[in-house]
Amino acid sequence: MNPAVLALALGVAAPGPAATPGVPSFRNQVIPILTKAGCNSGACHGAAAGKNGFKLTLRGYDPETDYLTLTRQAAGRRTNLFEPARSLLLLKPTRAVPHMGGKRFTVDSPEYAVIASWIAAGAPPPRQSDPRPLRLEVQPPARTMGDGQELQLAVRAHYSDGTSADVTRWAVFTSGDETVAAVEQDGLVKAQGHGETAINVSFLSRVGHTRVAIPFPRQVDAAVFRASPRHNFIDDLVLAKLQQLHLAPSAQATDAEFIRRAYLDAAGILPTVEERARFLADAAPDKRARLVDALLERPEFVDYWAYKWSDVLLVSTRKLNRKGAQAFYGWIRASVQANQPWDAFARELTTASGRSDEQGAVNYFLIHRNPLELAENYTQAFLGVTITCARCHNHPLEKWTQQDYYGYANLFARVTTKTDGGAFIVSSAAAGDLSLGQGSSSPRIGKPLPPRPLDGRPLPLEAAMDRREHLARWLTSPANPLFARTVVNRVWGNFFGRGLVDPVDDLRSTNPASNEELFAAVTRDFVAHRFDVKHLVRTIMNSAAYQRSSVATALNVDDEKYGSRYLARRLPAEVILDAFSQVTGVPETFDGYRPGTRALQLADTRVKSYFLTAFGRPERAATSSGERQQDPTLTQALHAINGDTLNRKLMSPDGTLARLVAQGASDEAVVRALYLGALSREPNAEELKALADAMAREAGGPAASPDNRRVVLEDLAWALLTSKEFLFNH
Amino acid sequence: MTAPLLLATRPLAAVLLAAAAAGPQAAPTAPGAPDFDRVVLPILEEHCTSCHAAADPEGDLVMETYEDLMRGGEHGAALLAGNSEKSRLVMMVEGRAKPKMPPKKPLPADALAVIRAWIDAGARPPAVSAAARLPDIKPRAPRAAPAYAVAFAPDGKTLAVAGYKEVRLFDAATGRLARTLSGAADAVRAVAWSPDGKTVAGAGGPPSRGGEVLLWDASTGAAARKIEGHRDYVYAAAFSPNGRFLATASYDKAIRLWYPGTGRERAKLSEHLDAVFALAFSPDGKWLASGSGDRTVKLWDVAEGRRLYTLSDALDTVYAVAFAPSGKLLAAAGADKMLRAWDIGADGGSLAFALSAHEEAVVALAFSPDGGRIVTAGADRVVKVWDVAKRVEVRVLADQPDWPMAMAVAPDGARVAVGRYDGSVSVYDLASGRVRAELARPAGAGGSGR
Repeated sequence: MNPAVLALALGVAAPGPAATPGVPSFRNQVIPILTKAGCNSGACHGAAAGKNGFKLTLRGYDPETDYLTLTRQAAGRRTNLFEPARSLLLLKPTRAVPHMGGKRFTVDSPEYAVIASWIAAGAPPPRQSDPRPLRLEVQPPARTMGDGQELQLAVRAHYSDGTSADVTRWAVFTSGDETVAAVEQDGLVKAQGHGETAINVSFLSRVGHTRVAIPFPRQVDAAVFRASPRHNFIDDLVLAKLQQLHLAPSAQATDAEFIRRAYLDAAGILPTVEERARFLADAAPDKRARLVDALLERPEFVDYWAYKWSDVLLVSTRKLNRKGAQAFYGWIRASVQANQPWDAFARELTTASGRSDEQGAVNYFLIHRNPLELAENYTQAFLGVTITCARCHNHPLEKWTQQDYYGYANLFARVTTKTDGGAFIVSSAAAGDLSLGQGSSSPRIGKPLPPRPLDGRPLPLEAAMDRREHLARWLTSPANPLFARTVVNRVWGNFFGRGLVDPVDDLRSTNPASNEELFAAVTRDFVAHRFDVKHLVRTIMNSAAYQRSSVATALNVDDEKYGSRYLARRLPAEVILDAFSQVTGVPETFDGYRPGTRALQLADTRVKSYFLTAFGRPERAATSSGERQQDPTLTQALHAINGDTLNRKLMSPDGTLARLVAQGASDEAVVRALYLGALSREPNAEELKALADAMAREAGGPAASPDNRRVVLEDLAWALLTSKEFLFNH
Repeated sequence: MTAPLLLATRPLAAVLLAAAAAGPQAAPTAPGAPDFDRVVLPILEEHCTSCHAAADPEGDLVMETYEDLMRGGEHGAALLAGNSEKSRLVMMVEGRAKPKMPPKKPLPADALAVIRAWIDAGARPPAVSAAARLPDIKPRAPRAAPAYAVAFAPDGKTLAVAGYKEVRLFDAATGRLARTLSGAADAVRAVAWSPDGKTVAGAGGPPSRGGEVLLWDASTGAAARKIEGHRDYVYAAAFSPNGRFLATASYDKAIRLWYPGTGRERAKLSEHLDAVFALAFSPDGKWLASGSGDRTVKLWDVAEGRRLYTLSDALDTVYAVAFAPSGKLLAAAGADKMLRAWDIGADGGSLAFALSAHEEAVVALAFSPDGGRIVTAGADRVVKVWDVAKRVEVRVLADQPDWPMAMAVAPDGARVAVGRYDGSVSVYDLASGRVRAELARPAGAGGSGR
């Protein structure tokens, strides 16, 4: 072949700018081909151990290393500079010689031409001066598609030297939700279902995306959206999204539905019969807002949120002694009680020093016995980002490199503890560093890196200040977008059953929000109100979106994430147990806690409770939303049926049931009290009739023996308290 | 795909296809007989090669190419050309020979019929060989072949330099090219002199297809013998001190011992779990040491052809091993950048020292004849001289213009030759570190890859 012809063709076809005209760039052109062909994927040569003696860096994150591997390692077996077509780098992927990975491209492909031309030019190495891709431009940036439609994306990389190139062929495409739209590797999007999804695009170290909406196949009159109530800015943004996707909002929840829902979501308790009656009788138009205000001032609100943040911060006697766990919990609870702004809370935790039994927050550092684990959990907790992968290797699609990781973890390297009696003293030492690679599976240990917040400014290694001060300043800066977004998403998820980003602590750039405009607006409002968590809760609870019915309509039954209705969901383990106690009037007792302590008041998830464990209480071993199990399991069903947690309460001689019976309440009165207490509603006529029938059949009617009558009432209460209507918030 | 891209692609494809079509063609097949590559191989790839791949073949039978299949396995020939009924492969598929193959999913009848038809028609090779299908792509500019390996003749006067498809013999004092030994299939990755100085062995092979060792008469340059048997490149070759054996090591994970006079194989040592890059005989010839990508150094008993023990201290690929002249110390180095040495005996070795040697992988290693020095060459483009007794670095030959991938200490102990990726070779004075000679680069800097 005439190299000039080849070069001419490449000038147009190659992905990105070349350092020398006509010579493909290893960094910008060869690597993307290896990535697109899957050569350097985790399942193939990108695996930690490589494949068949040939190891590339995962998705080409380190071109310098890959260059040496391809040209020098094993005496240069992979590239033949004299007869380029005889290079293994071309023979293997074209399957001219046996290749376990099969055929990746053909001899007449542009992929082959680029690599062949690069080798023919002497396989020039990557250079520091190579242009770098700055951003990807995906066209179209957003598109509404019809059923079954297709859409061809075009991807353009813009480089640091001002050039740009069409890299569609070399970009990697993934769909955020395959059930909505699928994408092929040539960038062709195909509508599969309905809703909205991001199509993620990656090329070299850059990611981009396009948003594809496929409205549900129905027409919803614009008047529906005009008529739907709007209480605050949340509603404008939710309704705009619903309108775009042809999803009609459900009607608003009734007052009776709202009070139960609000109590459970904000404070983890059921409204009492009296509270409910008072609320229903209130005729003032602002009564829901006043109910929210009142809930926010209740001690149970403090219990609920202290418990939630204790999940995130791993309060447990797993690693702490009892005193330490209590002190840590006490610190968190006091902060919630005072409605300490989230930034101040995080700052105080980050820089905590002192005795573990006095300065509760220092226990956070005692949970983690090395800086790596600490850095990982801390980042998951406050930034919703998993950096664990970078401990051992770079990942081109995650922003953070191994260098970033170790510089970041080095911020914690000087946290030291010493014992003092039964307590520990946490302080920041004047010296001590974490080396690159220390504590990872990598055998190669490098030098310590200057401590640097992930994308912040580095501190000199020799700086004398407590490095955590530097970290806290960066973390809580309004310019750090993930900090506010993470807590906003956690709080949103608490009330809507699903984060704006799902899972709630996965804020990777490749996992976009279901409604980014809304997410951005709520976050802005939260930051503008100085990280006031109660303000955030109030804003969410007062929105019409939160106050919608959970009953789906034919026009929104397929919506699971855009806010057309309240998503019914199972209550957390602790809330169910406390509700059992509340409805039956028989408190739970926990080892080592004073009688009457509610599950949501426990400082520790290691307190023995078969029920809580079976219903998915988190272990608090590592910060992750996945720790808490909300899905029903067989164990739960069996425990609810046969277990003694609920049965003992129902049979108690001191409980609500016993009291009602002793007071001589009629069957109907007992049933009404149970329905109001457990479900916050009256039994309907059908239910009352079923009760009367059961009484007649099982106990011998109104003339039943007191024992038989009690058994039937217990059975009825059991049925109520294990019903979906009770176990779910709706 | 977007429209502009398509437009850009088509002429390119046309160019490449034209190139392929112009390549040499293999002999035509009998009309009507199934072609191996087009028809038979896809069947084998679907049903057979997940177990019968070169990486770790069941029954020592590889079915990935025509050549592999014809080579047969541990039961001998896989097929009898022209007679499918008596071909072992067919008998096993039909259950007439045990074990029945494939073991789980039976071969469909139509697929078997195709294979039988191909065998009955003579089991012809593919119409177009893989090599013939390769486009003819020329380097843009001529360049020198890397100096893959260097070796001093036993008299110390001649230096052999391995390159692309050839070995060149230089006068080590003047740098003058004395002779070119040609005929190798690909890059020559290892070079060794027989102890009597009469024979030069050059080892390499076509990539991923098989290894070869060529033996040349050093005085005439005539190729005396070609030894084949490895399944991949050969990376190391060493003559035993008495010249009776030639040991080779390959990317195929195996070490083989040959009789150099006949080319007959004496033993195959196959306990390494990854490519074997380095070999060294002990001075008394009783032991052989090997270094591998599996991060180990293994010691072998040459007479019995069995492994004595494994040294597992290295943290990454071992690229070089060398015995001290005393035979009591063994040094090894590699990708973990460390230089290690063990006090060794028949029963085991104990780590004598481990030194952080280079900033990058150590690619070559040699003892001085008196055992007092170790010379290492690193991918950090530095050559270092170490005092073995004091375990310190005594000299650095820095500023290597490229990877010093080849290195040898002369028998007189006064000189060290360094060969580099850019093809240049320098002979240094070991004591002073001064350059004594620069070896001539091939004319036109083109190697013989032209």
